[in-house]
Amino acid sequence: MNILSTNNLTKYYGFEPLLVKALDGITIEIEAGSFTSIVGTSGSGKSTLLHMLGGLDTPTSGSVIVDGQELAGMGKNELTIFRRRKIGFIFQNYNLIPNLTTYDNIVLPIELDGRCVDEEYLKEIVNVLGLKDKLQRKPNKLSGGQQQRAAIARALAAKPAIILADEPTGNLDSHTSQEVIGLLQTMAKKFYQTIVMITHNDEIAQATDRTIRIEDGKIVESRW
Amino acid sequence: MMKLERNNNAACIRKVAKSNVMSNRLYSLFTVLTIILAISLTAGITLVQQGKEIKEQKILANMQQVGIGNLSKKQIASLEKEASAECVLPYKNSSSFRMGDTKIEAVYYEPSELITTYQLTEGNVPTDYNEIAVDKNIQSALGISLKLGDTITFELPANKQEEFKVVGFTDNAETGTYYFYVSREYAETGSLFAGTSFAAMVRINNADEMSLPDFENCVYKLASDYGISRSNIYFNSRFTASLIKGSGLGIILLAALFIAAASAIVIYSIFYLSVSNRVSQLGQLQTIGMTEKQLKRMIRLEGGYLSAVGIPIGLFIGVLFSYFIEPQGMTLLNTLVICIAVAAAGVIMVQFSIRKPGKIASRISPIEAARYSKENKKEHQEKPKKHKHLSPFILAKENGEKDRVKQILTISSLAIGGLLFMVGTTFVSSWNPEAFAREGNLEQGEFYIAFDYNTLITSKPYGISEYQINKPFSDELLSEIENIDGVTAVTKEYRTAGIIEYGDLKMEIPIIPISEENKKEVMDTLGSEWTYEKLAANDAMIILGTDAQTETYHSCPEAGETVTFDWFDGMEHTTTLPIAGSSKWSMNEGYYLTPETIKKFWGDMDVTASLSVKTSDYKHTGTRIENNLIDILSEHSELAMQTLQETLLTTSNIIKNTRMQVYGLASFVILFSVLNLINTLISRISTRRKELAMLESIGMEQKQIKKMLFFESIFLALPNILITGVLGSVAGYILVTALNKNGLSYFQYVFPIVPLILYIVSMAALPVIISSLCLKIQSRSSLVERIRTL
Repeated sequence: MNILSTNNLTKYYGFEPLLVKALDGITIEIEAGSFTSIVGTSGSGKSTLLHMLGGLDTPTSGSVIVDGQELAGMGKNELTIFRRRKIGFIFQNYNLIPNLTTYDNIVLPIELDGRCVDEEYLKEIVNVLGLKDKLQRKPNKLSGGQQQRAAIARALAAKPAIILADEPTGNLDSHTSQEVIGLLQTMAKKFYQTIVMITHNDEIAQATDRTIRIEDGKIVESRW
Repeated sequence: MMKLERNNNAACIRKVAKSNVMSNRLYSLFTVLTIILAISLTAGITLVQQGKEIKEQKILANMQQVGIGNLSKKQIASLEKEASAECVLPYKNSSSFRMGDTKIEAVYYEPSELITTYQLTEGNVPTDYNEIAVDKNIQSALGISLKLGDTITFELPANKQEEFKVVGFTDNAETGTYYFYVSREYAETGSLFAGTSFAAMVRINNADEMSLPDFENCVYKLASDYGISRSNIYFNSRFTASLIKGSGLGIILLAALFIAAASAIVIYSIFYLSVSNRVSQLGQLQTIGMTEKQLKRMIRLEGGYLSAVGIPIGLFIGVLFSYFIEPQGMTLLNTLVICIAVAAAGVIMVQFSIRKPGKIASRISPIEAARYSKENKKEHQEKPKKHKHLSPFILAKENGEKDRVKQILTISSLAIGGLLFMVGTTFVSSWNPEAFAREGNLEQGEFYIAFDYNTLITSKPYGISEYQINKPFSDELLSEIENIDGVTAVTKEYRTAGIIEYGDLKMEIPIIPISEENKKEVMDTLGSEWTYEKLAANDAMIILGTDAQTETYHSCPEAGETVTFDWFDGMEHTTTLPIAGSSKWSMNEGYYLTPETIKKFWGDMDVTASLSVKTSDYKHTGTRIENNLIDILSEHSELAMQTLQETLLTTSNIIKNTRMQVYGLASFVILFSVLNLINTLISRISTRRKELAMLESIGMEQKQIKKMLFFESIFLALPNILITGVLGSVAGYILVTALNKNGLSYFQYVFPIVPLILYIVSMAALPVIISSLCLKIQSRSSLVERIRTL
């Protein structure tokens, strides 16, 4: 079953003759519970694609359907609420809120939505991610790997339809990177969580179920 | 050999400092605005104050310094030859008279180039007996039309008429009395001046270079040389005030200090914020080899560049402002000197304010800076906190705790302005115009009838007692007034006059009978050996307020002394009497005798000095009663009337002017704190561009972000509002109560509810508006762009 799909997605900047085609007719389908990586060189359009998938940016044309819902018709506020409920983000530089504790950071999207935190589920995630003793710490008291784990926990906590990870290992050393990828794999399997990850590192991409390669805004390869 | 830390890097540091100023536009803008505000205010206030003094000097240069009353022709002739007198200008004022509702008065002034008297707009100075120059506004008052050469007939008291030829016109300001100016010949022999002696306006050579005591002594010596009583000397208070040097300078220094302190707080907090937001950049500079000293220098240079922009603009605005307020008081030299002084003070103020942020900047270690991100600031030991359900309110609270120093600085600067505003508004709201107008003569009624001031200025040696022998406040007059419809009470005030000889002084003094109202204060000055009966038996005198008497006469008898006392009851008498008691200060200054002694000295003479007329429903009946009183008093030229209505007009103007000054000062102080607040809010939001975008990306709605920023603003505004409301109210109450207790009974506490509500609304709305605007501006960039912000 597809949890995410795009149809002929384009994103253009500027006008002819200086038109830049960041995305040029991307059509993909992502199966529920899969761990997919999107790879490409710098400037290939992978980050732009991720932003489109997450509703952070709007396409020039084409459609994005997440969990059966078309993003194109949604208003700004509707899109924010949709993101809160259906999409979890993991950023390269963690993007944790500095003055909140790790616990507060993890539960923030849920509580902003006015929902109650599923403490049992949260405990499970925290245990798997090894954050049990770090919950009362502020982000600046955590290492890079710990901060990224907290970001993963935040993305998982709201039980989103899909997690979008933007170069989650970009700021980490190779050992910690392996650890984080391992954790993402575990999460995908254990919680049947769909994950789409962007990376420029082929080695890391090999750890995922499926790899989509983008060059100049077009899909050039898709392999399982 | 050049030391390691010394090299030719001045140009490089200047370049970095300049680029910092240019790139940190927000901080630079607010610092420059604060400098402009401080400099324009200080320069403006100083120039206006100086301008006022210069203008006053120009006015005083053509004004009498002292008036001498009751002069004989011989005394005038002698004074005119006196070497120490620069100018002696004889003049005479007639009693005023009425034609219908119009109050008219004749005046004679000897023409002079040194003292400005009246200025003709048309025609010539009167020289012949029946020639006059008249205030042209009299035409509309009397409903007549006049041109040069016309004759005008005045209906004088006692049904007399006199015809004058108009040879000149003046255009006087509206005072309620219309003046006409007569010739010397008429002043000497005309019926309006019968029995009136000459007075003279006098200027003393080099008086403006004297100290006040020297000037007074010089005048007293002149008086003593020509047999003039001190009671006939009237110092020009405007001139004597100008001889007290330094009072204006003190106010300027105080104001400048206050402005400097207010702006220093703002500049300090702007630079503090700027430095703490540049820790990583400052650390990088240290890493690549900038020494602590060079870092400090760089920050100083930044302050210098901002001063170089702000100070000239501030000076320009200040000069422009003072030119509009006091154009006549501006001189090039004065303006230049003040501008240089203010500019120097401005540079010192800016450098002083940025000293601490500079120190902070220089102490950042490269390691610390390398690890530093905005969220990496030093923190207190983290204590496990109970989790609170996250909401915009809780998030705002957490954010407020993030930068407490800045939060406290902003609130403090707001609270200073708020406190001043609250104390100021309480002061002006509690200043009761009617109670202020009633202070003095109108305490017991809405009309006060007393001897005409002009009658007294050309007085007789024994003052009002010489007029009291004619019993002007007759029973007929009293009953006529009491019979006016709406008059509820007529109260008499008793007072007469006499002369005491003390040392070589002869002083005309007010004699007040001891009454039930003043008995306690009078008796409190006495030793145990005195009783009321003993006072009456010995004709003893008590002096209240010897300080004020000493100020006027440079001498005053003390308790235990005996003085020679002269009085007039149609005939002159002399006796000696003891001074039984005295007090240095009193609200009821004067020389007190028992009614028994007064009866003994003056016999049946009526010692009424004034009447207070109380009315019912003054608002509606006042004008009618005033017209009735004018009619009655038209038959009594020696009496004049003061009304509550006219006094209210004057006092309301005083209150209005004070209110403007108080609000003006408070507004400027508030402006400083508002600048600080705006800077705090804008920088707080702009430095959190990424953080806000991050929150939006994980699902925080715009509405929730707005709510969070709203609460953050409220956490800034609320403490200020509380401090202003509570402490300001208490401080205002204490001030007004203290003023009231110290004799200024017209200060009656009124809570300034409307100004406070306006203040609260604007102080609460301002941060909300600014936050919303900032957010709106930020939202123009796409979410992705904002997340990518470094």
